[in-house]
Amino acid sequence: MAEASSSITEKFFLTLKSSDGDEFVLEESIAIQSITIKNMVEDGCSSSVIPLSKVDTETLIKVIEYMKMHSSTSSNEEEIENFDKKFVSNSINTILNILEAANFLDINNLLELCAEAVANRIKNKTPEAVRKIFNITSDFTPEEEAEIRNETPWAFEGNLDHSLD
Amino acid sequence: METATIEVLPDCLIRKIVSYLSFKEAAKMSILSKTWLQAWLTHPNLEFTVDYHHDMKVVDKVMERYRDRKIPIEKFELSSDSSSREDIEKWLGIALQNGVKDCRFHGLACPLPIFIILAAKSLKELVLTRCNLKSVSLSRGVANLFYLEKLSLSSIYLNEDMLQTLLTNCPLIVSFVIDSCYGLDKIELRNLQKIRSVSITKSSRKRVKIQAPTLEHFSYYQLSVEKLDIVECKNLKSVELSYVTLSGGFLEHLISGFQFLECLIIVCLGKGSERFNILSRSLRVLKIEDCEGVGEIDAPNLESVEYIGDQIPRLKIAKTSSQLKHSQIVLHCQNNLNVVWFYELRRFLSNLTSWSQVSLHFSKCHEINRKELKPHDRVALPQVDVLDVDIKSSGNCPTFVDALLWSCHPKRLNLSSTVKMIICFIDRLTYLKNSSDSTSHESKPYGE
Repeated sequence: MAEASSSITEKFFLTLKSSDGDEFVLEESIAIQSITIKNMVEDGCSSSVIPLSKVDTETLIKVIEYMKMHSSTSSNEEEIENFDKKFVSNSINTILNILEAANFLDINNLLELCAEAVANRIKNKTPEAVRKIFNITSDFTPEEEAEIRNETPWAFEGNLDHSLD
Repeated sequence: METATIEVLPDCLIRKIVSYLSFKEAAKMSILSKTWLQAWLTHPNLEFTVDYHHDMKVVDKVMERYRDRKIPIEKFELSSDSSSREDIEKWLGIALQNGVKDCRFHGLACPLPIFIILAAKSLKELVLTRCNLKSVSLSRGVANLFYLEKLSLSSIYLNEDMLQTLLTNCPLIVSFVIDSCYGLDKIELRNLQKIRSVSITKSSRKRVKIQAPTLEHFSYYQLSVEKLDIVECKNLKSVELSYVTLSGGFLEHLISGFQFLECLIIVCLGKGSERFNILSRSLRVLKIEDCEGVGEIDAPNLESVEYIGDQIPRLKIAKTSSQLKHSQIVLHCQNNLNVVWFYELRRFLSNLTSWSQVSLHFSKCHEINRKELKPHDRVALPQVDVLDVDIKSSGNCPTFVDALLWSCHPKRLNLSSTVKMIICFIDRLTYLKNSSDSTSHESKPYGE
């Protein structure tokens, strides 16, 4: 974004393009936390705009925010920890979008952070609520489902949360 | 809730999410779809609580499946007071075969095959609670096993020989925790070349001696100890001492002796003993809980200071460091509040020109004789960014509000109390604001 104009000569910048067509200029040293981008740079494919067809603008903004915080040498452990805590308090759908983007961009620590956040959000929920959140249609027959419930009755004990957020 | 916009997640991401669920939670999600079922069937962390015979069959079935399909196991956790030795050896064998990194056993009655566990190349972490380690003393078997990094022992009978045999078998541990173990008169740790963190809780009756130049974190909780010897741990960065009875002079010497000490937490130290000072150039984080013995704090590089207690401490803070970012005091106040108490509070708060947070918990509030609250002398009123006041009782004591504001100047006041008390506060604050417009207080009542 604005940083491109104030660039210091030693720094290299990349332009990332979201699936919505928005372009973001980012320092190369920050962007290569993504192994996917790093490989493209190494293969010499980064001279022009890098299209990220699987990442929409909203998600890309979040991912860039994360990469900036995690690369900056000025942010200390505590700042990063607080940032991560706040980061995962986004809505579960946003986190799932970031998780998919992290998978596509191959940013391992972001992937782990989001996977853990999703797990924490769903752990006390009923299977029905989780199905709705993930938009899952069961591919079991009622008999198969009954059999699974029957095999692991201990897994369905306790009070569960029906909410979807 | 937003509308569901998620396309079906790739299988690898579902497996990743499931790996962060507990074994039981993952089992519950196995009915979502075939992908989720598959993710559960290969869940890397196995956690079982076995109380009845029926549960044992469940565990047995799961373990056999992991064995037959060679499914990798990261963590194996078993709580059971009824499993037989044969069962445990079988399950443990499968876990070790499948590369388990983290083993946890709780409440196992039969003797644990500890040397089989310690010999596992893959094992990095071992946590034992209420287990039978008799086999340690029976066998002196040493297998040159240098793999374990973390060892935690809780509520286990151990004598000195057993502890030494165990530690000889894991010379490269990085972290050692011993909690509520019994049978030990002394704990001696030496020849642990990579040890970074040691935590000892209620486990040694008489003596603790640690010779470990690599040690960085030491946490010690002991109701009585005759001798604590850690002077050779020259690189300690963080020390936590709770309930230890040590002489003030010894403590003072200990603290100032660690030239890399950055974090010090002391809880209930030096009760009834002589006062001691905290003198350290390296100290950045200091937390004090219920320590009446602290005299003076002289730590010019302090970044954070916290005090928790039921008495206003009599300590002095020598210099205010420009790096101090966080300063907090939490007081659970006694019943007999009077003018003297507020004087003490103000005197203590005057140690710093400003505090980040002051939290005061009162069980009752009293009318305070306002005439005795003399106007301030030259000393400026201590500033407080956030003042939390929690009052359990109901009542109407406007003079109490006056006394509070006489002791410090809060930028923000959080009040948690009864409706009546909140109204009393708001009335008084409004009155004070109207009578002198120079102060501005923000009242944020919550509670019932």
